[in-house]
Amino acid sequence: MTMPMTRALYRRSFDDGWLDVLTGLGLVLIGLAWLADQIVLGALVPAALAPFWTIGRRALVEPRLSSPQFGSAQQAKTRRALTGWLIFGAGVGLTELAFLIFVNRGGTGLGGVGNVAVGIPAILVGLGLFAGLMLGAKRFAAYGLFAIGLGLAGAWTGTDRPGLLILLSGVLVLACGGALLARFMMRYPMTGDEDA
Amino acid sequence: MPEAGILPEIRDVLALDKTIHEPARLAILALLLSVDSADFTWLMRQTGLTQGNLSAHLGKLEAAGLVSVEKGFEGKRPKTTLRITPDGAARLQAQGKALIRFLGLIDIRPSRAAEKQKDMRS
Repeated sequence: MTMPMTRALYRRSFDDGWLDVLTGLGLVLIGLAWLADQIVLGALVPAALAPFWTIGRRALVEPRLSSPQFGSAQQAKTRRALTGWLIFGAGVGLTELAFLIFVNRGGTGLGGVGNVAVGIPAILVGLGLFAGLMLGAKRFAAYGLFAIGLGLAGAWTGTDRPGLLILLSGVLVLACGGALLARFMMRYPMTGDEDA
Repeated sequence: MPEAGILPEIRDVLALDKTIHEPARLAILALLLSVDSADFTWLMRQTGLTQGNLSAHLGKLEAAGLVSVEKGFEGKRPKTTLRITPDGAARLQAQGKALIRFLGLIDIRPSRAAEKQKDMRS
């Protein structure tokens, strides 16, 4: 059981926007890979970006704001949340792969189902974004709703490019993350040598 | 002065430890109680105190045995790691309880507590 202040501080530790930038960038790259018919490359994006989480935190966040060492209970909670997100992400990825195989085999013979199916990847991405709530970052629910909305809009308008919907979701997350990160960097300039 | 007629809550609040009760030091201790350890920069950002001001408060807290200060380096950058001591944690909690009991006398505790919870959630 952690204290309310610990939980509030923990939530705030994700307000710098770096998580959003990485997530948005990941979705943009996955979307581009889908548009280029290189879906396997898209599947590699999360693994390729994962190391940049620590690199970015060390280069951009910690010299400005630093970060506390949370207690073992909170650290265990973070591990559970990130593992949950990873498992959820892998599940979404596998579902999308299964969906793709299904659509490719069905071809255009799916008729109306095909139109709905085009929105499914973006809808799954939206569900995946909701997992940001596990870290207490409530804005991820808004990103998730946007991606789901895009998926539904894509299905409704009959677009034949699911990658475009993922790309657009990513652009929104990336833009919000960029704005948050810029605000963070302006609010917290680099600190000099400390003196306690 | 005879103390028999003084309410225990008032007696306790008059006996509050002024080293802890000063607002900036109270905030510093509360922040350190919420984490395992923190560094100087993080505390400065979280409290909005200037470097000199924070140093002065930490000096007083360290002298009172409420906070431990460990100086070191992270790469080439100096890094000061701060922790609340077990005594600091116990005294902060005792002080908090005395304050809560006192505030309970003037019937503002429930609404204040609700406001605080709301602030924490937002």
